[in-house]
Amino acid sequence: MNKSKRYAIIIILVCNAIVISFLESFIPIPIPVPGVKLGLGNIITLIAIAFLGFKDVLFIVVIRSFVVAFLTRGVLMLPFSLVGGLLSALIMWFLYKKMFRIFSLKGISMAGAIFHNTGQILVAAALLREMIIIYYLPVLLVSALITGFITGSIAEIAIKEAKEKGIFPDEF
Amino acid sequence: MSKKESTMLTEMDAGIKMVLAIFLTVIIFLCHQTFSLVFIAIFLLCVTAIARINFGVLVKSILAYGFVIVMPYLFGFLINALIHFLADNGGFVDQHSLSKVVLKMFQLFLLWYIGSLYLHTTPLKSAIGMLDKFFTPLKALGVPITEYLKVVMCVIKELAGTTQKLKNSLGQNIRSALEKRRWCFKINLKGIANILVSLIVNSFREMERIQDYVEKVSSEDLYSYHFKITGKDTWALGSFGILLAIVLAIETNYFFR
Repeated sequence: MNKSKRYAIIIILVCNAIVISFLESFIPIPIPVPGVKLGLGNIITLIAIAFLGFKDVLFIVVIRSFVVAFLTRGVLMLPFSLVGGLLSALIMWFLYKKMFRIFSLKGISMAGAIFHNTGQILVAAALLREMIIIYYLPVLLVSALITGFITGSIAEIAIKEAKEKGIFPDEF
Repeated sequence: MSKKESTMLTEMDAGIKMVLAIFLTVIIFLCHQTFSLVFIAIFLLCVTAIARINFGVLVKSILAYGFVIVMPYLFGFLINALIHFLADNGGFVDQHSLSKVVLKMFQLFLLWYIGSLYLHTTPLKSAIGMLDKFFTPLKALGVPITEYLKVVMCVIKELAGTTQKLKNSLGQNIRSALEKRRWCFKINLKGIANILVSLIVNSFREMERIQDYVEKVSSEDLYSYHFKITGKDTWALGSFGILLAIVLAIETNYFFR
């Protein structure tokens, strides 16, 4: 695959991840917990893991974090997005490529959500140099199990349909 | 890409503004007196007023700060207090460390605010152009920074075109899908997945156009930064100097001798 095609795919997937995160605001959460989001944008990370190489997956996570920090949340959000996103992508890539027989896509997504939230809380603890912030982790982990299950279920259908419709040619 | 309203801050040189922001950040973390921080906060509020920034936009990014830093800390603090109350094990945060944490939170808040202020008053073209210059040593090592930043700008450019279109069409679809079958979770997931798949499929129809664009566009067309000092920068440097002198005076107790 030539470089410009690879970049075009990355641009499309990053745009989709950001747009999907934006669409998430239309979906009501039954029990809203402050700081907890569905994280539908992670579906794109799962799709990228399923169809693209490891470097491209990391590239998508990094570019997405940069663009979101630049456009909306402010530059200090960058370490949170980067650490959470990269940790979650790493674990999901490992489970998908090496342990797919043991873990379903839902399980992989749940693990990704757990690592994402853990990464973010560790960044907050490091910035404040205060460990009592870790007490919030159980709340985030429980919500990660639920949101990870939901995003995993949607990603499962999306990846199946993407395969059926041949969105990603084999050369990817 | 939203065009920033022309104000003193948007017309300043992005590099000078970045240097001032970094200096201010360093000063914030070197301050020991709470009053210095309060003074810096007042200075930042004045800057916000001069820059005529939409407070709604700033509040959004500040809310993110509340969600990721303040709220988890307060939750942890309450649990810690509860454990202390139930077990009396001495684990409760004492008054001294609590005031230290509050000070740290305020410092981080100011840092967050400076970052938001910088991004809301700097045209993206200049900010990315400056990053390109900043990473010159990495470029010398063979890291294709220019290409990566070109991808970032392409993403921003593509987003600007698609977000509004999607807001009107897909947002309504999602809302109606949820309203019809609010309690039928399985069908909802399928419905959302279908919307997302159609979004992805449609976006891949644009692949040739985007690929063509990536091939033809040069980084200079997307972003650029050229150092240029104007009267506004001199004003900013002057006011920063005054701020620095006052903070130094507060820190050395000059006013209270």
